[in-house]
Parts: sequence; structure tokens; C-alpha cells
Amino acid sequence: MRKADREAEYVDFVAARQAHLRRIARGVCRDHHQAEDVLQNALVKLYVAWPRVRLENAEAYTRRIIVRAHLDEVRRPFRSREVVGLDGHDRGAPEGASYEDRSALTEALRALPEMQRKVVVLRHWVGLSTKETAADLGIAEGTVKSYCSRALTRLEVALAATS
Amino acid sequence: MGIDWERELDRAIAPGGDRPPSDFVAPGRRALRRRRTAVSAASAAAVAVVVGLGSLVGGSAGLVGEPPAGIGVAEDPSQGPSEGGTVDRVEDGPTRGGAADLRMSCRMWDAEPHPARYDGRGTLCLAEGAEVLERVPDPLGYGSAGKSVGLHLAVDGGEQFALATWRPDDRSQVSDRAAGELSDWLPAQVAAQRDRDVDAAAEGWVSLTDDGEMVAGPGVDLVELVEVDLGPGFAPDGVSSWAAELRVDGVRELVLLRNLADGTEVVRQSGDFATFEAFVADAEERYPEIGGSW
Repeated sequence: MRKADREAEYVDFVAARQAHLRRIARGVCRDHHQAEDVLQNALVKLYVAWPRVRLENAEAYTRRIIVRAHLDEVRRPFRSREVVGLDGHDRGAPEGASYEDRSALTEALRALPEMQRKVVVLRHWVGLSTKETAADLGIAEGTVKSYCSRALTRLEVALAATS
Repeated sequence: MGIDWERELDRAIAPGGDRPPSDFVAPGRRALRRRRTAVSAASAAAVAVVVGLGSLVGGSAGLVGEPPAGIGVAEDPSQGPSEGGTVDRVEDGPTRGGAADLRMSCRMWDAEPHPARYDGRGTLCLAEGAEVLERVPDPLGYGSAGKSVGLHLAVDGGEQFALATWRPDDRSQVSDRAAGELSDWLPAQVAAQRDRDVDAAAEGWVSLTDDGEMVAGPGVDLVELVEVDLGPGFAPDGVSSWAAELRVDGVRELVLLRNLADGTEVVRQSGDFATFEAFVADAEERYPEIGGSW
């Protein structure tokens, strides 16, 4: 495939799947700035690897880079704390979800330990199986189940507190 | 009735506006150029490039991690840059000198979320007042290729576990409130870090076919391949692993491979080894037998 064709294919993929991948990044990261860093890094790596990554595998490949990112890497030590809704990108809560509900669950999700947060997003939002989640994160299936159980317990508490 | 987690999480995870794909294409082209420049150089020169990059990341050039002037920098101006980025102040004895001495040769910010990290030159920095209760040297088994340390620290009236890693072009740190034993907490963090060490650019260099044959990807020559047992720290029971020497666009690369459910994972290794056998022997020595989850 010619370089121009490869690049056009990459651009099409990014245009089509960027929003979904950004939400995965936002789900697994503690704040939106970090999520943007992680997404940027993942899509740049995808560009480099594009000749070797088949189109049908591109999303899984990128997702894997996102969920395995160095979330604790200190790249912006003085990055200000994020204020939800003020970054010019948020569209607001979906219909039916009160601000309090969404805020409480969002905060509870962010407060989870990193791996628990990743597990719950991959299992219960992306919809991966336990086996797929384990493969994405490089951990044992039993560990996925354990993290998931602990995470959902914490999230249930957060939801119950708002109801 | 159970909670519909997909629906709840869909509400909780905010969508965001798209950016034009060109935002990713331009840096992608730059990254590709950097990679091509690196792989087209001779091996020795490539090592020099990596070392040079390491000194830029968080180093005196200040591309990453340079704090704004006047904000919480604890650095002794009398300390010059450490040669080759290999000074590990912990070796001087944290239990002797205390954390304050460790801080004198590196930068630690007031807003630092973790109590321990390596700076760009590979100097270990601890939060002010931190006391090292327990230390596990090089749990990642980087050897001469980098640095890592697992720590049990007393800091700010509490205790924390921490893992910090440094390689010439990469570093990371993770910490958690201490609960139980460091030896129980560390293996999972080490395993997670090993996975993060996987170089995305190396994916596809080699892969295992359904017939059990290891084949090289485009532009890659498989020079040497041997099945190895690096213990559960690298691959759990039932997962086969190999060491390989490759030629990628003509440049020698040494890699470790493990065959996961969704494909062959290529873990690129750094270090200067005269022979493939020396590389394998080093890998077998460096990857310690660690228990816990892989």
C-alpha cells in the first residue's frame, strides 16, 4: 500500500473511532488532561505502527496502548486540577442523569485504584470479557474478577449515597 | 434488581469533542522520522542516541519535568549533573543519611503525588522527610539497562509502598498506602510495569503462527531464537517465552517474547551484549522468580 493510502486509512480510522477511544482514556485516567496525553500518545504510536497493524486490529491495538499507559508518569507536575465542564469539550450529562448522580459516580470512578478503574471500564463499559480484559491489562483472569468485585462495591456505595 | 453498570458508566464517563486527525498525523510523522533515524544508524550510534534522549528527559535541558522557577525545588546547586545518569543515592544508605540527603541531588516538587521517583538522570528522589523502612533493589531486573526500586516508606505520618523505575528514555512511579507487606504489594506492580515496558513500536516484529512457528514481520530478520524460562515474573505457567536476536531494518535488536492469548508480545531489551548467549544468560539472571499475580 502506498504511503498516501496508508495515511488516508489512518485518518479515516481516527475520525471514526477517536471519540470512543477518548472516552476509554477518560474512563481509565484520573483527569481529562491526562486522558488527552494518553490518547495522543496512543494515536501517535498507532501511526508509527500502522503499516503493521491491520485495520480490524487497530482499535484493540490503540485501546491496549491506552490502558497500559504510564498513568503515573509525571509529565505535568503543575497541571491544574481539572474542573469538569470547563475545558470547552464536555457536552454535559446525558439526558436523565442528574449532575449529582454523574458527579458522584465520576468522582468514585476516579478515586478507584488505577487497575480497578481500568478493569471496571474495560469489563463494564467497553464490554470486554474477563479473558479479554485480562489480556488487555496483562493480568490474570482471577485478578480481573477480584479487582472488578472490589471496584463495583465502591461504586455501588457512591451511587447509593446519591439516591 | 442489579445495577446497569454500562448505563451508569456511560453517564459517568464524559464524552469529548473530536480533534482533527491532523493533530495526530503530524506528531506521528515526526515519531516515525525519529524511529527511522534511530534504526538506520549503527548500533553503537543508536545507543548514544538513546542515552542522549535520556539526558534530555527531565534533565538539565528541561524538556520534561522542569519545574517553574521558585516553586518547591529542592536541589543542591553544588551538585553537578551526574555522569551517565547512573547515580543512585539510595546506594549511599538511606537509613544512614535520611531522605533529606537524597533530595539534595535531585528535584522533587511540592505537588509530587508519589513519595519516590527517579529524576531524568536516574537519581532517586524521595519526598521530604521520608524514611526508608524497607527497600527491594531492582525488582524489575533491569540490571545495567536501567534502575528500579521497591520501597516501604514512612512519610507524612503514614506509610506508603512505592515502585520507581528509570530507563534512559522512560521512567515511571507508582505508590499506594501501605497495607500488609511490601513483598505482597510489589509483584503485581512489577508485573504491571513489565507490561508497560512493552515497546509498541516492536509489536509485529515477530509473531507465532497457529502452527507454532515463529515468523518475522516485514523488514525483520530472525537471527537467533531460543525458548527460555524466565519464571512467573515474565510469563505465567502455560505461557511460552523466547529470547530472540533480530535485525530490524538492518539494526540488531534483542527481544524477549511471550505468547499471550491475543498474540505474541515483544519486549524490547536494551544493553550491550557481545553475544546472543550472553544476552540470554543475563535475562535468565535478571528476571527474578516473583510470586503473586503476573
